[in-house]
Amino acid sequence: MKLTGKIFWGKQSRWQLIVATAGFWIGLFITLLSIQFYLDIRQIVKRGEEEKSFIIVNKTVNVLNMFDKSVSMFSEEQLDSLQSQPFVKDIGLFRTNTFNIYADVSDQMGLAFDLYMESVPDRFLDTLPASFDWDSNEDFVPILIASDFLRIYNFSLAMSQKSMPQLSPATIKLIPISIKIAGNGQQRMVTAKVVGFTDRIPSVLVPENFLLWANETYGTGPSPQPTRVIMEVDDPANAQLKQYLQEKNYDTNQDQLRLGSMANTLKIISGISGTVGGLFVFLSFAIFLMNFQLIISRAKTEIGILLDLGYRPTQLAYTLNKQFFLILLGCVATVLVVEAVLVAAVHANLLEYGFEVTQTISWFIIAAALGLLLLLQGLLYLSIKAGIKR
Amino acid sequence: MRIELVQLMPEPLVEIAPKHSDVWQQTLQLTDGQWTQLVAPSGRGKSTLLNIIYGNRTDYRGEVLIDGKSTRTFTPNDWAALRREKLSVVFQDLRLFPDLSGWDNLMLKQQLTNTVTKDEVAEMATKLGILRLLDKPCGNMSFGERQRVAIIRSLLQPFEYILLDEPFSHLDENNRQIGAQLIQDACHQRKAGLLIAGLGADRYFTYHQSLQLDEANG
Repeated sequence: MKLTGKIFWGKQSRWQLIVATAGFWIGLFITLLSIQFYLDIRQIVKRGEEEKSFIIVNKTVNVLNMFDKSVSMFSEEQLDSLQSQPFVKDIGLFRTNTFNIYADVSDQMGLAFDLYMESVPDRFLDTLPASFDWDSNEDFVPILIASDFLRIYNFSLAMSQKSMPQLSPATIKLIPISIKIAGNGQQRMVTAKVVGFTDRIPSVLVPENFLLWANETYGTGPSPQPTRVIMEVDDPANAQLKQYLQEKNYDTNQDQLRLGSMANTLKIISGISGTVGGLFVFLSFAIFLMNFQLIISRAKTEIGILLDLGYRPTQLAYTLNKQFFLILLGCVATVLVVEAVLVAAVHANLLEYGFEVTQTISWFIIAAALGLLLLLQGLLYLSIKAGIKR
Repeated sequence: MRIELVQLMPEPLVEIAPKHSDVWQQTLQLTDGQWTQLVAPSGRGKSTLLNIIYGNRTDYRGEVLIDGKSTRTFTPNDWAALRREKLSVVFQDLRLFPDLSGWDNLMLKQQLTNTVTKDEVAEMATKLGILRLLDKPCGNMSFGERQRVAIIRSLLQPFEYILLDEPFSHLDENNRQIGAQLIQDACHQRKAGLLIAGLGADRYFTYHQSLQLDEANG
């Protein structure tokens, strides 16, 4: 129906159409971008929120500790007291090795060193690979290391030592580490491998059952009291908690507490951005619909003449709607493409700064775009029908 | 096709209604193939009557029946079918698209039913002396030229009745004769009825009846 198209899209309404389309494009772009922004922030904040509810507590180190390490240990009473505090949900004890560990990666990296190992109950781990499991029949021990250790190695140690290569997480996981454990007049060789990285606990972790067994077998003397305790709390910003820690002269990994307040700030920001995004959605929709309604009502005379000539209303609605729909579809498609490119670029940047975000545009965004398309198409069809009815 | 007017009275004319009229508040029939002349001075509702019959106005009392069916019950699609197949019109204000060329205006109708070939369209335009003007946008034509485009357009479809609202008002005598001849030929070919509204009695066609809208002044 070329001629009818010519009538509706004559130069009379071309500028309105361009303005309305541009308005819709920009509105859709900002809307989808703010949804993406909101999702990103939520992703980051969520991780922060999980983190903030775990705090590692140890005693403050002072001159006394230099002479008697046992000063740093938590007594049973102290542990009971900690456990019974109302702001504490759960506590987990750090166990450490009471035997000697000697690690050798001289084949791969030209390194050999004394090592320590710790363990915490599995429920306190932020990452729990399936391979983090020890079988007493095997000579294999899985290890989790703090991601900070890898960072320190890659960006401090390896940079300053020419012989040491920088290692990606994937590479590290491939390196077998020969470990000699000795004590109690016995020794044994085992092979260890890094199976994962933890952001929560700054240590070298092995499965708890392995450490219990090894301490029993190779350990010297009775198992010492723990020096570090990991606890799960409802709210790390709790004033009672702060007071308790101060009174007892306990020290914590303050970073986690700071992350807690950062998460709160980000939450507020993402809330604001969500509100602004929602407002944009509403405004751009309103502008878009009003513009198209204007176009339709300006075509009222033309529609009237075509009806006089014997054109069916449904025929005209179809012609009008087809054009609008193609415009909408074009807008949605180009916005999604631009957004996908933008997200890939920005997220690659974020990754460099250590934020773990996916590099592809979220499915939710695509679904939202299609949802908006359908909603608008529905509204358009209604206003076209109303416009033709006169 | 049969058009019946039953006690028809347009709302805007209720206050100034003449005492006697051949049409208003009368019951009359425009029968199949009948040629009728409608005479009245301006402002007495000639165009209103044609627009009521054509379905563009609903502000009236009484009924219009087309083939026995009240037009008030017609759906938009019913009207579209009627206007494509059975009822043609030349409006007083012509209802052309000013931005489209004369030719496009004609094709808009021609495409709809394909009753008349493009050659036949060109032939009619030649007879009326506007063939060379058809590339111009209608907005740039004189009223008389546009009137001729509208006359041709009204003949590009099948119809059983044609409504003409002062179709020759801006044409010279020669073109009036040609236009009338084209309309007459088309009507004869289709065995169609005709209802023409004018300011006074004319002799362009041979009429079966002449109706005065407003006898007091007629």
